Amino acid sequence: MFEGLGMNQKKVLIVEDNELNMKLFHDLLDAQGYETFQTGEGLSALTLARQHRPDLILMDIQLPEISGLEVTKWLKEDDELSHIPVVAVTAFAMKGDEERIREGGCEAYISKPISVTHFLDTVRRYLG
Amino acid sequence: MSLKAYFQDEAPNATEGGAGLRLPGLRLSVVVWHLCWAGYTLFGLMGLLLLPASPLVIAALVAITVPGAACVILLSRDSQFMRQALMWVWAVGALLAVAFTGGISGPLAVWCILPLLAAVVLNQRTLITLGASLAFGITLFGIMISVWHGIRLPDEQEGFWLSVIANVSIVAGLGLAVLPALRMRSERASEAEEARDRLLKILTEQPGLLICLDGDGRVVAAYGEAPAGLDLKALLQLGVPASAHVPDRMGVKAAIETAVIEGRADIGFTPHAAMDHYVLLSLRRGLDGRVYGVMHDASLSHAHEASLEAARIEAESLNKGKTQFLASMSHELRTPLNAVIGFSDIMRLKMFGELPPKYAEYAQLIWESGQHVLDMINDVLDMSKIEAQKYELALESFDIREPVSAALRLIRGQAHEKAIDIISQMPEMPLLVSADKRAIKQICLNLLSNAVKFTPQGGDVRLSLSQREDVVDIVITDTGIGISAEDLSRIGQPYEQSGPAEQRAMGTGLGLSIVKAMAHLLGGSLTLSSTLGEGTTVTISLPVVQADEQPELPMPMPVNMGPVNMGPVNSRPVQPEPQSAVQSLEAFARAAQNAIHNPLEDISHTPESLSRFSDFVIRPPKS
Repeated sequence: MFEGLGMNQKKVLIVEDNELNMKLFHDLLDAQGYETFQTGEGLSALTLARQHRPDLILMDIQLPEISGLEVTKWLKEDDELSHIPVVAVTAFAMKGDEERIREGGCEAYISKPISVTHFLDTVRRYLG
Repeated sequence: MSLKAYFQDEAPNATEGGAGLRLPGLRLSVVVWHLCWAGYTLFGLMGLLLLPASPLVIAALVAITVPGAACVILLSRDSQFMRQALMWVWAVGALLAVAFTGGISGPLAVWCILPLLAAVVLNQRTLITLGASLAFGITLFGIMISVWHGIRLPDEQEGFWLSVIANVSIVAGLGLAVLPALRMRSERASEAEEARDRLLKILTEQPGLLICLDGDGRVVAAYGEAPAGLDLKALLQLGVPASAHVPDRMGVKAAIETAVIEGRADIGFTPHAAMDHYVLLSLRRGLDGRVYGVMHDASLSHAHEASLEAARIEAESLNKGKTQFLASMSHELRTPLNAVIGFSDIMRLKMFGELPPKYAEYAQLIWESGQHVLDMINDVLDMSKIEAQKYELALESFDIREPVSAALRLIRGQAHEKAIDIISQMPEMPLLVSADKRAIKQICLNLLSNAVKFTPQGGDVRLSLSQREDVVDIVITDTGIGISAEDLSRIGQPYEQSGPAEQRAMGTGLGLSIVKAMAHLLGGSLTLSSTLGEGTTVTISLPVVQADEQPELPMPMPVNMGPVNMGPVNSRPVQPEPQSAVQSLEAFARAAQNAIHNPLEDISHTPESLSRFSDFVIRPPKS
């Protein structure tokens, strides 16, 4: 089950301000053998990304101080970080939200509440 | 008394179509006067025959009888030409009479003036010049006759009688000619007075305040009802802008300037003396370049409009608030729901190992309930978007079997759990439509979900998809509990549900409303038929089939909206063409002039009571 241990272990940065959702995503990814880094603030997401160079970033769009879309924009403007795929996870469900999120530079979009199967499929798609 | 006032050049009832001069109506007095003249001279002639007088004297009297009798012809054929001809007959008659009696030194010399007298009798200013000229000519001719001495003067007796006849005829004739004209003049003056009173009454009693502005924007005339709250002193002494509340003054000034330049302007303002009132002012430039306006009190309608506007703004902000509330509510509910559904999903998928069967069942129930809550949130959000008319169709071309199959796939799980058979019947070939894929899928999903929900264990749900010319029919039939007749009419209204309360608890009641609204958005319709206890059939007909090679978008709008090329021209306020406006104004001015005999220019001849015709007649508002 933990075949990814060691140097080959994939790293995922989770940006999510809700503790329960953070726990859900963490448990799901942890069970799949991925290493996770967690933050609830958009600003520290950049620092953590530079520090740990994750293979994937799960980005909540509605964050307390700064929008996840804004953080994504900074990530994509940074030459060293722009290659990291960003998957938006959001509870927004209004028409046009998906387009807005994709235009913001996110590679994929998962709406809350998640379906566990769909969530893991999407994550696997970007982690190979 | 001026000639203009004395003579009647324009009759009260002028005959139509006079491109040239309009003739005064032929008065009976003119004919009677002429006949009296003929009779009088004939009587004189008889007397002279008894005398007996010389043939020349007799001829002179015969000559002067003719014009009197000739007037009769005017009774049958009256025209300007005939009247002039009559003047000439008078001239010839007078000339002969004067000549036959020895010219200017003869007893009939006074008849030189007869053409002028005839002009007075005809009571027409234009004939006066002709009459005077003819009289002057006859006088010259009479002088020449006297100088020539070719014609013998009548003897003393003849001369006496001729002088009597001539002088009596002139004095009586002149008197009889002038008196009717004088009487007519006074009749017409009183007619003018009445007409003016009528006009003044209309001006004063009409419900607006009519104003006339001079070049500087000052009020030079005003008639009618003062709008409530308007400061008349400021209006009359300082002008229209001064009567308005200070912030409105610039607007009123600008409106007056606009009216001067463009010909028309309309504005509303608050009077400075009563801020709870509102006055509407319409301004038009007159043919004389002045600006004419009408003001009236619009306090009530303005207050009404203001309250409507306030209500509209409030409703809009409430609606906006509702939409925002729904968006944020949706977000706030989804966040905890993510934990509920996510964790229960992990448990029911047994990702971390086996669970005791009871717990596994509970996890499944938690997950299903979470899904149900999610469905309801989505329904409420969709319905609010449809109600706010914000639901936008994303039209694209696709095979309609795709979204229908997707809906069938999604519902099979639910159906399987209740041992319900889902039987679908679809065309073998792709059926291309131009519609909103998500809407089609949701229509099918909602209908199938309802069918499964209300069909007992072991029942059937059938879906058939078929094409009928450009219409796609989706028919969903179940063997469920059915809907009673009284519920059928109610169903499909937002938040309405049929059946007993425990059944209703299974949803928000929005499913069918959303289907109906989406079908309407796509230009289609929904038909429900049901028998209680036997099942329900829902038919959705959508005119969305794509014609080959020619994509066609559905048009939910009614087609019969009038001619297509209805440009903005038709939406402008109706305005008469300037040309016709001028014509009708001229016609109106003419008619008014005929009716009241130029009241504005003839002031010097108006009787005393009429000269009090003021430029300002303003009455207080009537309650």
